Amino acid sequence: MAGLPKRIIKETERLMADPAPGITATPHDDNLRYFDVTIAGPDGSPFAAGNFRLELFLPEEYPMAPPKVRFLTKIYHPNIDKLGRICLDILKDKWSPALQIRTVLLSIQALLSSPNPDDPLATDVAKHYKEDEKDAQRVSQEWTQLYAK
Amino acid sequence: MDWANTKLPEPEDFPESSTAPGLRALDNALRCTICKELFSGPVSLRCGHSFCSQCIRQALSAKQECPTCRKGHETEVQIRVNMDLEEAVLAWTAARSHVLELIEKANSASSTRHPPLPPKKRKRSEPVEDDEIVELSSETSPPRSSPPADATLCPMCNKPASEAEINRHLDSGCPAAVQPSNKKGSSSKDEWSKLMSGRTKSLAKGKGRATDSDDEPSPLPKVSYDTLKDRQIKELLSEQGLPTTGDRQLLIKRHQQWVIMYNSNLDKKVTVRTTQAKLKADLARWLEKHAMSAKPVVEDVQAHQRKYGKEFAALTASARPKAKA
Repeated sequence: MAGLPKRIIKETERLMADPAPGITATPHDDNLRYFDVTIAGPDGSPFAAGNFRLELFLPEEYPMAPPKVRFLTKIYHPNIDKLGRICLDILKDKWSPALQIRTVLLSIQALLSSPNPDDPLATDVAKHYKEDEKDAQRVSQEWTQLYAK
Repeated sequence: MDWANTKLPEPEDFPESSTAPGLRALDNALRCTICKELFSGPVSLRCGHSFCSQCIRQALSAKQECPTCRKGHETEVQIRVNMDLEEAVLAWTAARSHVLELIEKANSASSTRHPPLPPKKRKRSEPVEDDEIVELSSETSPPRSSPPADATLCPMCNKPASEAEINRHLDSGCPAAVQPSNKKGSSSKDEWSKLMSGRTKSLAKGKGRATDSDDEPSPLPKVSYDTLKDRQIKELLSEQGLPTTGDRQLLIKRHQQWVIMYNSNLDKKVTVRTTQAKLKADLARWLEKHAMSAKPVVEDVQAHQRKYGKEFAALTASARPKAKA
């Protein structure tokens, strides 16, 4: 508890008291900078009805540096690689201290709705998405049913 | 979870806009988007967005754009003090706990319909009040409540002046500083600081900001540390009365952060500024949290290995099967 910036405490309170739809984030009791996150796959996407687990860590420099976020659930998505790393600009060079945990998680949820195969992280998935989107979405759906329960 | 017990003041302390229109939005509007606190020394960028001086200086040192709208090429030079916003925040800080109290009273008056509500409200707002009262009494009120007994306001420039001084002050056309004792005491120091900062080229910049008086301290210049030797950085630090211990990286970090804290303190209204001593204590605390938490240096490698060898082996063993699976 000691040394935890007020901003983090406030964000945590807000996340618990008034969570964004389809998103939960719970801090670990022994490390309040480490969150267990779940994101519900957005309706109308191949990830619908899936429940994806992620981990989120707030580094010492937060909010001057972005949080570190990673998918723990396997997912077939052109911007998420097999280690769960996410290719999203606001998690890297487009980070701004005015952003917060809530907006980051909403952005990730939006990334599930609109994959961006032109800026891929998982190149094979991106290729699949570009060559045969229908078939790639079918695989995404399969993986969702298989892993994101 | 213990953070739940330490309820911090936040916009949601106020009821939704359907019951109390505008209050939650007002509290939110007077908060910095970086630290989520009520503005402390608010400043604006060219795009019109405002932040606490220290927050934006810190943010700009990492990336030169507005954190809210990403308008680019903002530097510390473009920061403008937002005095009216500061007044609004100070007034709201004073009013906040009072308003919360009034809401609570109104709630308990109409509590016959919703009996469980009021106790919850009370729990929420009490620590808030404590917080505000402490902050207020230590920062805002003493300067305001303690002008000299014969104090009056100058009818021309509205500055406080003692009655004995007021005529001379008016005759000389309202020079900004009306505290002769203060001026006398610091004049030689001023002389020195001018000499010192003259050496580092930024006096012209500082002059632009120092608005109305001669003994208004000017902001510290930014330093390009790469061109300086350790000895010169230490000199810069000792000029500011700061410790010169630690390696080069720490020296730079200490001076950098000091410039940010010192300059943002100057962006605050004189009456709510922090003292140099407190600022230095804040700096030490900040460094402890940020710079010191960098990797500790292992001095005796073998002793370290002996001490942690077992733990390390256990950790690798437990990590291996996971990696395979």
